Amino acid sequence: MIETQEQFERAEEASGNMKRFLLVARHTHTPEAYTALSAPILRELQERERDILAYLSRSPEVVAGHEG
Amino acid sequence: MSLPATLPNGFLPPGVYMAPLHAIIERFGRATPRRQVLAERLEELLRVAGATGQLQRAFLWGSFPTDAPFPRDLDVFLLMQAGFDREFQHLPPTQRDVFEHERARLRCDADVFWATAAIGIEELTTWLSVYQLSRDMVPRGIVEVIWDD
Repeated sequence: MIETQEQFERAEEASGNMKRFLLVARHTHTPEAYTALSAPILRELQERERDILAYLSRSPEVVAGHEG
Repeated sequence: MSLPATLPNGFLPPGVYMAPLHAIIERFGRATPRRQVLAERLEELLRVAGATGQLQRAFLWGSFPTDAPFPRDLDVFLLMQAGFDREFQHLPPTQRDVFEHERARLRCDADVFWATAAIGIEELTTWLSVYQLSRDMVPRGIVEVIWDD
């Protein structure tokens, strides 16, 4: 669970890195291989983005106890 | 490089640690029946991937290389030789299973991630940095398998 601004930024960076990995892979692998190799990454990415959205869905006051 | 002691949170310290498969099994694959099962799955997975003749590197993270008595599954990244993607579709089903996510989960209790070396060292390095941070935002170490033979 993301509880601080710093964790949020690191999660965003990780998510961006995973997307960049996919962007490179889709150009360097055959379509069939890309379909197979991207499946677990897309699922992981979806879970990580869900964590990011969960953090963004809470107001700063709600998470202030964690960030203070 | 040997495997360091785990931190109080159960994870290896952040970093990438190289160790022979037998040392990884000895360290993380003996303590509980669940770990013994996962160790067998790991050996099978790497044996099948290696049988393609194109396995270059393998990395482990997640709950297996930790102190957790009951790891949920294996998390593995396989770096295959460039060009493997063109041969992938012609693999026999027993080998292809390892590279198809859902099949690998069923057969090996593993989330198998993979790519070929065409991805480039920069992206591989980035990948390893991503997985040195758990989804719970805990920094942790990754293990790279050194081949015994």
